[in-house]
Amino acid sequence: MSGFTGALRAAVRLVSVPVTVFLIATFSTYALGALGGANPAATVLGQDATAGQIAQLNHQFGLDKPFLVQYFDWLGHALTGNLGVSYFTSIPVATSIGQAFPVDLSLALLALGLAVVFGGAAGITAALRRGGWFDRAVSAVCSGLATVPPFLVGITLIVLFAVVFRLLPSGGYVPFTQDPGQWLRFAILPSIALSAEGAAAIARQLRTSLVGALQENYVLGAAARGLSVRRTLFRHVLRNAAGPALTVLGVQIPLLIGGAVVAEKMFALPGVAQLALQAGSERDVPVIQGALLVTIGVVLVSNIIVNAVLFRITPQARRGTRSARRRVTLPSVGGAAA
Amino acid sequence: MSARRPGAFRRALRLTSARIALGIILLIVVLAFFGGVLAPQNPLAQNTNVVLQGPSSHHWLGTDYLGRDVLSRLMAGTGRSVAGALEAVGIGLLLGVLPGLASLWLGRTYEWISLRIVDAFMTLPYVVFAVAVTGFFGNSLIAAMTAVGVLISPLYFRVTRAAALGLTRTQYVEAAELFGSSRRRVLRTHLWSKILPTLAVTTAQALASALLIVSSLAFLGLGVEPPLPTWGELLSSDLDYLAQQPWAPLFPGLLIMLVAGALNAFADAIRDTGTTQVVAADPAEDASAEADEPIAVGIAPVAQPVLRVEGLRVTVNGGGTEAVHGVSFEVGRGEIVGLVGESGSGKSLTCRAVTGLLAPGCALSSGTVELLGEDETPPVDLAALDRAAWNKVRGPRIGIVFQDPASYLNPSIPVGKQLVETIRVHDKTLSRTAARQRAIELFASVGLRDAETVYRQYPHELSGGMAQRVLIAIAISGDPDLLIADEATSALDVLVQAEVLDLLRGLVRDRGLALLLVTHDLAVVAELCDRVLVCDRGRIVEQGPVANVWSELVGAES
Amino acid sequence: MSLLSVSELTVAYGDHRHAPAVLQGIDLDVQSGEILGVIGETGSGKTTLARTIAGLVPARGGRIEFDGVELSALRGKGLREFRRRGRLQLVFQDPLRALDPDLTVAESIAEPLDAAGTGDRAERAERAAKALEAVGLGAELGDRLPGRISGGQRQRVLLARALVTEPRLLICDEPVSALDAANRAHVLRLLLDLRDKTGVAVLVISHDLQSLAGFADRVAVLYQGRIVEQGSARQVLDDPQHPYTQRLLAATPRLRALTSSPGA
Repeated sequence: MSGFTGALRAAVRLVSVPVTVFLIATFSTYALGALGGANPAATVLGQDATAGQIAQLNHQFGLDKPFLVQYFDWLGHALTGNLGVSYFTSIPVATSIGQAFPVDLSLALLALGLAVVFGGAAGITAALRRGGWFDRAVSAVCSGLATVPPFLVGITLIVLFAVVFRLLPSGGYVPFTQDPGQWLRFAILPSIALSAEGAAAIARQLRTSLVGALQENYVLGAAARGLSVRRTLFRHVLRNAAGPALTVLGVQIPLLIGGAVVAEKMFALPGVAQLALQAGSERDVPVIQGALLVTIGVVLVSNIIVNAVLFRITPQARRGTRSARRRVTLPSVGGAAA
Repeated sequence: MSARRPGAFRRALRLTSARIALGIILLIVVLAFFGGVLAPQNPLAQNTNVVLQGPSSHHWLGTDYLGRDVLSRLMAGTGRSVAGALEAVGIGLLLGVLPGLASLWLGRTYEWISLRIVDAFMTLPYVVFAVAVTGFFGNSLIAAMTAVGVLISPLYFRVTRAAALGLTRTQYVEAAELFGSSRRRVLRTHLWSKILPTLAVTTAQALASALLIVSSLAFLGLGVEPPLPTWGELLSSDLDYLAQQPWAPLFPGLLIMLVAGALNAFADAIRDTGTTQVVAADPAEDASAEADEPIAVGIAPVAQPVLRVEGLRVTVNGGGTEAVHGVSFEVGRGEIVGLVGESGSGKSLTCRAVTGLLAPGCALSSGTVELLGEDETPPVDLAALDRAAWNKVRGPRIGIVFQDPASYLNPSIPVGKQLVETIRVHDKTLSRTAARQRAIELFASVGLRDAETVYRQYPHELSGGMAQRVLIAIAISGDPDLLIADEATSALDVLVQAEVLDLLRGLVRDRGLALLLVTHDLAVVAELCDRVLVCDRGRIVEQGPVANVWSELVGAES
Repeated sequence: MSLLSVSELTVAYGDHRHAPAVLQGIDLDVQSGEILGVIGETGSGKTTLARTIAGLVPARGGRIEFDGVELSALRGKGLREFRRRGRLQLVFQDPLRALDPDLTVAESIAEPLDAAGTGDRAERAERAAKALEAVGLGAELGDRLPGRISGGQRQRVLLARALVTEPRLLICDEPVSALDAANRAHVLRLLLDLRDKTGVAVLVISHDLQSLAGFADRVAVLYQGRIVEQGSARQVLDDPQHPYTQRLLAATPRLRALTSSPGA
């Protein structure tokens, strides 16, 4: 099955789903925009617009063409980087988003990194010391954090570090490319707020997967061969058990984006969500559509990446586990009694 | 079909956590309807004289930037927050459950398309989508929560589908199909009552999430219609005046967390009390705790012993029950000793104790286990080793082979690489190429004909016999003095078993190994062993050469 | 004409051409009122054989004919009609998994009738009660849940459920493997009685050659997906021809009762 055709098939399978999903999601985006957006011409021109002026503006915006054509036009332009122009400011949407996006990206990456590092460490340690105080503490913290929305964590952080202790700023932003040190000062609090939920979810999932995996026969087999705990854990167990945790990570990404919206407001960051909120209050349809499109794109790309990694680390899934050889469990083996 | 056992809710309520959670939820429901009426003061009444005050006897939670009583606003705001959450979840449920069930039975195309639509919705984050929808359609709570509801429906779709799918793969559903049952009947009789608890759990969790989302949206100014209070909006204004009242966000925040936490706790309670379990007999119960007179079985001294066990006692159940009562035996170089018994006799526990691989809860409570080396080397006290010390013994001094061999190897690494890893861990001087060469030679020496091909295969791709040979190769790679085989041939079919037994016999002969074979199969004993130890209820009741003990062992044919 | 006739049956896992075959060219016959034992170890394909004949697994090749009907060609509505008649029943290996834990014993036993829409409630209940009696269980067990009765009783409930439609052929997958010696003997005796009284034929799948002695009329030996030996029970057990059968017979001495448990 391997070889070129195999690889091609895998690639197609990997991509066909995201592509379909992309089309469905973007179509919904465009449709909703078209349905909901009040006649922009009227909004832009004001109450006294004549029918002729409205019609002319509509034609200018391309709103008099059949719907599907509009959609494909829009999509086609979007894929080449042209997201249209704001109804109100005449600034190209792509430009505004282009300025705002790196803010979110840098924040999200930092938050993701924090979530992986802290969530991973907590999950592994909790699994290794199962039943101990650390394990129970981690469970309690995770349950707690699951109920705490990012904005609550954010507010707590602001209160602690910005208001009470005055260590870090409570708002503002400096791009990474301009000054990494300053960037970190502004980015660290929002990133921690964003990462909390994700770290908890990863820790929880990793712990559960690891506890299960540590009971598998192959862990016993590794001990029987004289392999150390560290080697068994990192070279064998994590590879096999990381799958679900990785999936959880993938799920975190849309959540992270949602959280970023709130974080932006709270920490006064000039990101895409602020743009969208502003556009929302003005019913500036192209901007909102552009923001949604970018969101969809980001989520899909990260999904593809996560799926590709998952694919890489689970070879048995590739080959299918439906072999005729089933594990025999005779009552006399395994567990406590002889 | 109603279940005979108490329903899911009643079972969940046995837990204290569930009862507390339900209490909180009911309190919130009351507040949702009567919050405005029950509030101590008018939530809308402004009073510029008492702006931004802290908690006092008049205003229990202080006042906001317009002098309004915070406690009253919180109570009055319950209704709108809860209503929003309910609306979203209701829409999600309606849009998700039936299509989820339908996806199992309406054919492949419907299944694929509906899964893609679900995927599409899942790429849109709640908040972003709600922002977009309110941007498109105008800022109202209904618009916002409808958007959220649409995005919640994939959750219901997936949960329902997964639950139903799992259930359709059960044998009792297969049986129903074999009786010619229609799908509708299968759903009604077998599936529905089992899916409901799952849906209840999902709903509770979705309500918690929806509540958080309503609050987040209100925080952003969406779905808010001032001056009517909602929890999220309180948080938003708190943020603006954070410098003067840093503790202010605590009140709405804690309230939101409390409700969400209660909902999640209730969901957990339903889920945790949900599964039907026939309590499997505790295997440790078989272990006899009687204080019988130990049947004195003399240890026949063995020339050149490699393993010496004296008075071995093993406890299970965290020390509560003793399962092995003072077992003593020796295994010598070049000798094959069988440890025989039925399940529950203690033979596997003995084997695990000797190799330091007891399951958690089991312990070697007393006795000596010694590994004896050549001539001058001092005996190793195996009972006293920690994991690090064991890592130097298992492999180089003791090799171990198990039943169901493939499962004792990492399923995602080719078997050759795992052998190489073992080789290099115990001999750090070998280069990768040299180790690989050694691995292939080892594979060949255990009778694997296509050693190079086998090297690249994964454990599940090997037949039982081949996997066992691989495990044997790994076990002897460290050139051990003692080989322990725990039911090594029990899962193999009769012909393959004969081949593996031949292999073991050859290894013992050629390398001078000591072999301890744990088995319940007398044919194996007859075929292979020099001496046999018979285990019964945690003691060795017979010891001796096979020929002597054989007639004792084999009863009349039935 | 045979009651059940299986010819050249081939079954594989997976759809593509190179999927490994679990069963290869199986030829089997069961006559009316006959007891055929199929012996196989784990991995021989025995459970797949039972499931394929019952219709749960599609065959890659070959024919299955039962009571004049070509089973392997039935689909959709025709298949469902055939199943509702209940002339062929499969008794699963593990009663704990094969019985819905939320249905009472009586409800489970009556299910084949309920699925076929036979008779009204009262009739079904009566037939279920009769089936319960026929397997030697008391009527009071009817209201219990499967989790609350013993393993041996569960096995019989499974049998009762299969008998309630008065089948011509029972396919039993390891009917006695999970039972202790006493129950084992009872169930085998029960099956023999049923055969004598009602003339039902039984196809028993087992890994234990010895348990079929004195029970099966004919025996077939399954090894790695192929029938390697077939003949009357006496023939196969007393004078096995194939090396695999010979080894199987040699591998069965039991441990003598050093414990005081009865009948080891």
